[in-house]
Amino acid sequence: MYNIVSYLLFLGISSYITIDVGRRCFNSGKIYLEYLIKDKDFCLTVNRILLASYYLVNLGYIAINLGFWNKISRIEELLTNVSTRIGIIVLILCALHFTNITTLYILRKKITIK
Amino acid sequence: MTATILTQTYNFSAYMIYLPIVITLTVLVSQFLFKNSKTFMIDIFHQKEDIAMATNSLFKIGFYLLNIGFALCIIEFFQIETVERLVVALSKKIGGFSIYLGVMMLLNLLLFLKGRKHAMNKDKIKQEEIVKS
Repeated sequence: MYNIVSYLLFLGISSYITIDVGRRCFNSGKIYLEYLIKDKDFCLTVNRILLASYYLVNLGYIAINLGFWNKISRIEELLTNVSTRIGIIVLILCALHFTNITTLYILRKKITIK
Repeated sequence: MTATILTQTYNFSAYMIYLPIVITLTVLVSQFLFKNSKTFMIDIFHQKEDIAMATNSLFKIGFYLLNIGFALCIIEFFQIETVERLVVALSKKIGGFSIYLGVMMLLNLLLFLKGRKHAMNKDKIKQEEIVKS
């Protein structure tokens, strides 16, 4: 019983966070990329590819994560399990986000040549 | 039997106290930090408003993700049997989290200061070149 509740909570919260963060990053990343690349079409394409791969990686990881679930028999266990797993996913999102920003920043000089 | 029920209630209330405090703390700190970092961003990006705001919100998303993720990862308490234990464990955890938050905020500020210095140096070099030519 608790297991199913925790699955639903986990899937709902983590996919909501992933999709919302992706949308926000897409919106502000547009301007950031335009500053770095200075080519509107190319920049939009790069942004879309980044968004798509981001969704694939994270939603895939969320789906896989359901396989390694402990047996939950009490409500505290439900809370700790769900929050720890959401926390791990959020930290992964954060690491991806910062690597994205730094990579774009480092690659900037090579891209702006054209 | 009663003992297990007691421990259950205390652990659950610990989580219920811990979660809102941590989340409001993170939201307050990052709102404060990123309200004040707009000026830094505008300096870093040479007075270009839109790119400064975009980068600011990107950093804001990163900051939120990092801190809320960390807060959720350290949520697990040991069995809490008495109210005193509950208070001690909660204050330990929340105190540790606030120290971590403070360190993160300082690191972010250092990053902004460094970027601003870099941008200022670039501006100076450009101006000198203009003066020379």
